[in-house]
Amino acid sequence: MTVLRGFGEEIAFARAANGMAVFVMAKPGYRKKFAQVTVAYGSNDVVFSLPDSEFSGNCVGPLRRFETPPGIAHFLEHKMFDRPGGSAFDDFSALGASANAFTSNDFTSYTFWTVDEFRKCLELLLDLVWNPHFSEESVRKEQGIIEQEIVMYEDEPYSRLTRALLESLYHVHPVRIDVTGTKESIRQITPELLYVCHAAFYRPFNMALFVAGDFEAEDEALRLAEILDSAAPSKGARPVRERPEEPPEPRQLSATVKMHVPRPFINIGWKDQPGGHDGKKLLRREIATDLLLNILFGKSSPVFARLYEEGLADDLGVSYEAWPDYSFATITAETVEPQKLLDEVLREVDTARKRGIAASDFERAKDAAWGHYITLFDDLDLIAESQCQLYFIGEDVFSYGETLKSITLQEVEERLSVLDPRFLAHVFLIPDTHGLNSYASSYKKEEQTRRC
Amino acid sequence: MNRTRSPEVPSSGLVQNEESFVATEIEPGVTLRWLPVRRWKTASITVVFRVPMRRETVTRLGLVPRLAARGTRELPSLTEMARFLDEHYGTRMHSSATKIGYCQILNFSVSFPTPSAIGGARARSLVKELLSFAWSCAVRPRMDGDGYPPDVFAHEKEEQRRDIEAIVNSRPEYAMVRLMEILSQGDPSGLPAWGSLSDLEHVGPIDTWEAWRNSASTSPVDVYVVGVDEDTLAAACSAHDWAFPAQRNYRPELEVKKTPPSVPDQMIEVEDRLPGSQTIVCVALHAGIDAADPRFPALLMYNGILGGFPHSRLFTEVRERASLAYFADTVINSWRGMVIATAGVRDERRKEAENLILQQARSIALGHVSEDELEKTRKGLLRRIMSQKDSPSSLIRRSLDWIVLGGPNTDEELVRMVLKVTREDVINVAQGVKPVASYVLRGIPDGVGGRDAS
Repeated sequence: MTVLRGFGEEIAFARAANGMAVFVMAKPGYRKKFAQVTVAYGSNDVVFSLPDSEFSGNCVGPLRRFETPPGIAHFLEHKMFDRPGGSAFDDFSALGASANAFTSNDFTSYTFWTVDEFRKCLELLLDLVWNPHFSEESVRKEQGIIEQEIVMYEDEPYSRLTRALLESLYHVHPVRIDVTGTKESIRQITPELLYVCHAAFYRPFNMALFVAGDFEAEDEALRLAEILDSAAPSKGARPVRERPEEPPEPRQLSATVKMHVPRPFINIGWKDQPGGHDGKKLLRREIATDLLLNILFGKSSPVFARLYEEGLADDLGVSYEAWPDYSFATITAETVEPQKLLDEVLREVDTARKRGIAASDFERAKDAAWGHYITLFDDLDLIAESQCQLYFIGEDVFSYGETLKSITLQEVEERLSVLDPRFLAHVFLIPDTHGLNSYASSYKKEEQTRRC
Repeated sequence: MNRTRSPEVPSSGLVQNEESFVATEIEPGVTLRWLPVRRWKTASITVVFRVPMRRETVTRLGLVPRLAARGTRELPSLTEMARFLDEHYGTRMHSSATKIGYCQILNFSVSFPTPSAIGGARARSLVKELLSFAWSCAVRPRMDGDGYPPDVFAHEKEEQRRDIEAIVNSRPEYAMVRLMEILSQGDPSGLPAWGSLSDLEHVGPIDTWEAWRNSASTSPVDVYVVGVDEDTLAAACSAHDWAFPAQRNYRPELEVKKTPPSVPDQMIEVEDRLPGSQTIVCVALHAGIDAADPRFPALLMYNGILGGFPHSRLFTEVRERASLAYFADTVINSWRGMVIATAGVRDERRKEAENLILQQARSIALGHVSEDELEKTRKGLLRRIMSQKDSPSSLIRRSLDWIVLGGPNTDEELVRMVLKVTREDVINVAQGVKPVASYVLRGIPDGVGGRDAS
């Protein structure tokens, strides 16, 4: 049992004998109680290997290497709510709780919120993640539901932009494929494949439980560690995730997507080298790059105001993703002139390389980041997500804060190297007005048809 | 100053340890609402003007939050504002025009780490400086003579136009806007919070400032403060200049509740076509029960059974059983007294989805409501009501809803009323429900689209 402390907050940490991590964050006075189970399994884990001895019974043959259809981690997340008597959503509702789940490139998480019956809800959550129940019929039905989820994202400009950029940046890395998979790939998913993936990744040592609410954190962490231990035995070896060898350069410099939107969008990305498995280095790299991007293109930068006032960029946003096996920086905006905005961004990067970063800009960006970090502790979903993800690289939410405090101007300046034109790709999403006059005119029409 | 603990006053009972906003009238029509709760690390100051929707002002006032974000008299540029916020621990500024019932809600807010989380000398001046900033955003924008700077105004007007047009980028949101437009049948109180695109073409920097100056000076104002201790707040308030852009002339009659647009005599069915992959089906079910109606808790239960939860009919029937949709749910419009059902489906199955929605509404009206779904819904509603206590923004929203729309004025009262709702109450509500409009935004392949009336 360890108590992680910092900035007036405490998180008790225990590890169950079966290897599963437990975090309990005390939130005195909160009505809600929250729990999240995170599995270190995401959409990128499509190819993996396990020793033959790991599998027995009817689900799998003697295969050691598995090539699974893209989207299967997300599909599995949906199907984990199936229970022999019906849906786990129903069971959570019967306890007055609200449940949800989400899948990313690297993780799958299951959550519930409740004000009552916390223990029963937790038992239900653990039962859900450890006792899968799939049938041919339910898998077939889910294909229709997820197909609608896929097309919903196809209709969203930012989803299309992200997808097109990752497809441009990456040659073969699975991050280039959408978390949901494709309409074609999800049709290849069977109950047998789902059982294989569950057995491979939903193992206690590959999972973490985060709980927050009005608890005595240390006592609760110990109790939960006991419950976890009795709920699932420790078993098996770690699945070996296979990643194809990815060249350092982007696959292509540019891409254009046509879509029925009123004005263009742009997504500019720089492919960074993978962050590696040293959690401390990964964290420093992430924080320094975030600070850099905010100094150069954040709201308090002169270039942000100029681009906005000239009508060149609206909703300009920056981000940096740092993961052990892939990393990239992006700048996204709505713009009337994508090429001009791209030129302006590259010119600004070039200027920054020559002039460096002003100490006053660095200090201001750090102050702002510090304030944002402090307020993060009110967002239990985000804290849970951050803590569970940091745990798998050997860090925690408090070491994040300490790292932020210790970042230097020099580290930030060094990160200018990530904005290297050799690793750049960009996507223009441009309006396809074929068949339409314009949204402005069509929007104003008062066309209605009374069919009855 | 006239200080009261109302209207959100708590008492002991089913909702334990209830905290509520402490209301203090600073001057007629200006109310400070302070939440004496210290469990959060985020503090906020939210200045809200409640302005009745009027055709002649709504489009102009819809621009005001954008213009506020362009600069104040003290910080007249984007960069100066942004640097001020960064230097105050990354304070986030938010300004928006939204709508609650018949009111346009002009919101100017800042959120920042609580002084107690920061500590030190700077923390003490933080609240005072940010109260002044939020107030300036609202009433002391950057000006040029008698109006907004023409270049800034022209730019923000253009951005507003583009943002309105860009609603089509979210098909479900666009479908909801269109449905409301159809239901309102030209009634200005049914306009969205930004007003209308055609009116936007005719607004200018001077008349917009004039409209805002008059509205700000006559409208009720609420200043919500969360995460700040009483002494710090008192010091900030006593040092603050509560000046308005014109002589304050509060008009209490602006607070009189207005009725929603009348519902159509017969079911309206409208289809639009918009290139895209998914078809959105919306159905408006009119119950004639608004937030102030004693039957409102039964309507909450009805909505919950039909589509408000994952155990609800639309989730289980439209999504899970028929495998038709990824989302299929309902929301209440508590001013119009309506339940709106929405689902995203394959185009060729749109009619099936619409029929299923109507079929489930009829099924409840016929009395097919199980004890199991009734109790699941009741528990879900109680959790939602009580969970709001952990979210300052939910508490502010709930307070504003109550002020504008009425209804149970404490969570305790609402909980008590939900607990009393019977199966018969729900069925009675369902029997009074009338489908009044269906709107289908058809997803069609690229290149063959266009909004048409086929």
